[in-house]
Amino acid sequence: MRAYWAIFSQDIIMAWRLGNTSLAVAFLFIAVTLLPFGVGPELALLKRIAPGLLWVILILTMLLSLDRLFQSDLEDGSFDQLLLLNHAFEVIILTKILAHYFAIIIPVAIFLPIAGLMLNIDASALPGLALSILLAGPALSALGAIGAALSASVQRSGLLTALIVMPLYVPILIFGASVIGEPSSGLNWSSLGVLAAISLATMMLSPFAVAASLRGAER
Amino acid sequence: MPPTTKSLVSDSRSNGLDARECTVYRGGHLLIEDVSFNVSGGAALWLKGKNGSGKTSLLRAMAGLIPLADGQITLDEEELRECELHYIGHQDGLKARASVYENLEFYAALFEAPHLALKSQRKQEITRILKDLSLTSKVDAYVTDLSAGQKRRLALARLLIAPRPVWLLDEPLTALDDQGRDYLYKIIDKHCAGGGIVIAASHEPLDCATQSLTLGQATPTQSDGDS
Repeated sequence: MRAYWAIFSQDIIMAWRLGNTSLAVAFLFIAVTLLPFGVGPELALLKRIAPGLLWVILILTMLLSLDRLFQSDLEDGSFDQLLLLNHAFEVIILTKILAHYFAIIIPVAIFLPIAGLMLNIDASALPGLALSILLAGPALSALGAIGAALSASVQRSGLLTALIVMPLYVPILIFGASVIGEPSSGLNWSSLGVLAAISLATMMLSPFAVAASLRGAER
Repeated sequence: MPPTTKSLVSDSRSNGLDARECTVYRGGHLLIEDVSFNVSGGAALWLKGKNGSGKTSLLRAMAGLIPLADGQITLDEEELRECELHYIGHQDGLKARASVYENLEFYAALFEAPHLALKSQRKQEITRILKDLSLTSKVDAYVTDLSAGQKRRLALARLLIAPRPVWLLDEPLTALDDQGRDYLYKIIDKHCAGGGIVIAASHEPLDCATQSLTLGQATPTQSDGDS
């Protein structure tokens, strides 16, 4: 247990110190600020398209934080040490995925609804938006980790990671945006349920894919 | 005092480390073919060879980081890759944006060293190791601010944080000054005196080695260093 806790806490501290957390939050605020300049200041229109736009911004924010998820460990040699442990490598990967969730997605889930106010979202819809991000978050981290692992041995892998991960995010985007898609009818609980199910399934399966591709990258 | 490696290497069945007919491919090319050698407990093997002769690959294959195409490496009749061991590669395995102390504390937790379970024990032990490595003044410095030699010393400090019967060292002398080398020789001697095994790849002479193995010749030769 001590080993897992050490990996988890080191990842969170590093995300904080290297600015990954603050960068993600700053990026989403800037992206949300830019939108009304593009589509015009019409409040009714903004309100209608806001849920979808916020989810697209959420996914772009994820992509920013993903490309270094494993690459820094591979480059500085820490990965060798993790592979040598007498622990299941898949569980170590799951630990790193959870650390990404705590370091990036939870701060984003707090700040994205606040940024949503700039798009004229009803204040009553904000808790639902935060909840949907928190529930979808494990899936965003777990699927993102697959892309990060597959491109870990490539220099400047950011775009490649995005190409791999974005199609995988489509179901999450569809169900996530539909949670507060119809403000009149309240929260769409069945969409929340599907998001939770996707999160559980991907958290269970993706560590195997990530571990396999990272072992390949080592070779 | 930290526990010595003696407890980990049982003297009664000490067959040592045995590599039989190891074959390793890198990038589709045959790099190491049918290398066999034996290192008994308490010995230090110096891996020699030209650049590209497969020293690093052999060490990585021993650690289980890359696959062996053929052959077997055992420690006391047990697969070496299933055993706990230390591997210090070309990269130091240190987080640049963490302090010297945090890096060592991370590895103390990662290796789950039983004698370092408590925070006070860790502080005492890490302070002692850093003093031996002449890094006391850098304890709170970020690793980015260290020189290459200081980083190397810090990587070597991992060896002392948790006892492991086998040390695999890849070019441990790189960037070390004379004092650092003396210190490395000292800890290798101490490890061997406790029955541990050291295998180190280096192009520079490794003074503390008791035997050597030269890779990259038609037939790899193993010799006793004193002869």
